[in-house]
Amino acid sequence: MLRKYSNSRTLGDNVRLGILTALVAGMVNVASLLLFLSFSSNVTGYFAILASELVNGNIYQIALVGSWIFLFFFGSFVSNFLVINLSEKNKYLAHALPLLLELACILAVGVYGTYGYKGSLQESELMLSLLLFAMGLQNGLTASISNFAVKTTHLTGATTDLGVLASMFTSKKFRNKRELRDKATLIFSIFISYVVGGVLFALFYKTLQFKMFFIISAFLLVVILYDSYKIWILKLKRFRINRRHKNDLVPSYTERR
Amino acid sequence: MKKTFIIITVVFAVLACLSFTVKAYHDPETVILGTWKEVHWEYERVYHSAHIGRAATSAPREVKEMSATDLGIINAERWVFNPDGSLILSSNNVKKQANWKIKGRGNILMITYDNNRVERYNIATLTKGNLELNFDTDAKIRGIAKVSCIKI
Repeated sequence: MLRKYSNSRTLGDNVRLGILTALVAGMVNVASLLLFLSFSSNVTGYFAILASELVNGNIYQIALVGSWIFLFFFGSFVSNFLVINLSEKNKYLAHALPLLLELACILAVGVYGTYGYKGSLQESELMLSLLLFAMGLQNGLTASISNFAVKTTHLTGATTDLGVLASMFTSKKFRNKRELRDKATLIFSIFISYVVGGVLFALFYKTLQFKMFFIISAFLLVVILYDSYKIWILKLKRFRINRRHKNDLVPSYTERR
Repeated sequence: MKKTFIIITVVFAVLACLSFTVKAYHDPETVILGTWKEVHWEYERVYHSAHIGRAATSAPREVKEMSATDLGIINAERWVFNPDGSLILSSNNVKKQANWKIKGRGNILMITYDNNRVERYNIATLTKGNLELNFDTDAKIRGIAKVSCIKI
């Protein structure tokens, strides 16, 4: 999921990454809607609010909404910054680090929300800021490593793409093209996963409240550890092969005699 | 990479300072504190009703009666927002206590009553002297009603 980059990624890599990160994004977005009455995984609406508040001259709203948009942008910036600067040293680490930062943000919201949240506006705004930064990190990472094929925090572009694909599939010429079918599969799985994430949060949030963020963190941990586990298995296999190779090259004591 | 990191840190620090300054200048949770008096009720928008004409020409008292028959704020003429989160709604002969919270991006007023009933109002305007709340009404006329208050 995280090791491969750009065109070397298979459909399976993208679908796995898309499903798990869309599940996280769906949960986070519904979480912020139910807990703070604001969205955290998409900023299109905030651009509209920013424009209208600019007209009204409401400095507080302009500053707040502007900083939320900036944090989403900044998250995306940090993600790609890490990917392009660390990929040469360690590709897995470069791809996992943005997700580790996202995990830290979501855990921070979960811990503070469970043990310290008093319901003030200032706390809500700060927690939303963290979530927007986290979603920016996630979207930046998935878009960056998948050559812009996987974007999971908002579905505007995906809905457009699916509409275009659906119209193309009305013609047999396009229906048989594998790359178009693959693209539709990827988008559709992201859709379903996002909605499932949202529904899951809405179902359990009344009983678990902020503790749901720990479950979200667990999903992110699966994304991070999935490849780490594969890397360890590969390393172990390589180690065993090398050891066997060494044993073949060095003659045993009895042979030498 | 070092230079970029310094630039990012400076930009971030400037933006954070700016946000805190604006927050200190106009914090909705501070501005709303105090006593407010209802001065006007009107329909901002009517979706669909046989009484559209009536909604447009009604007197504030009539709009109040038509729009919010089941809302907690209906019997209040004076609202006192306390710093401890309590809200006292009072008129000549009725006094009710509830809790208030501001949510969203400072644009939603959430009022919770003793029986755990929650009402949400959109804050259309909140300045040191004026408070305007919008809310969806589904009573006699479906639409968005607006209640205006002034600080006393």
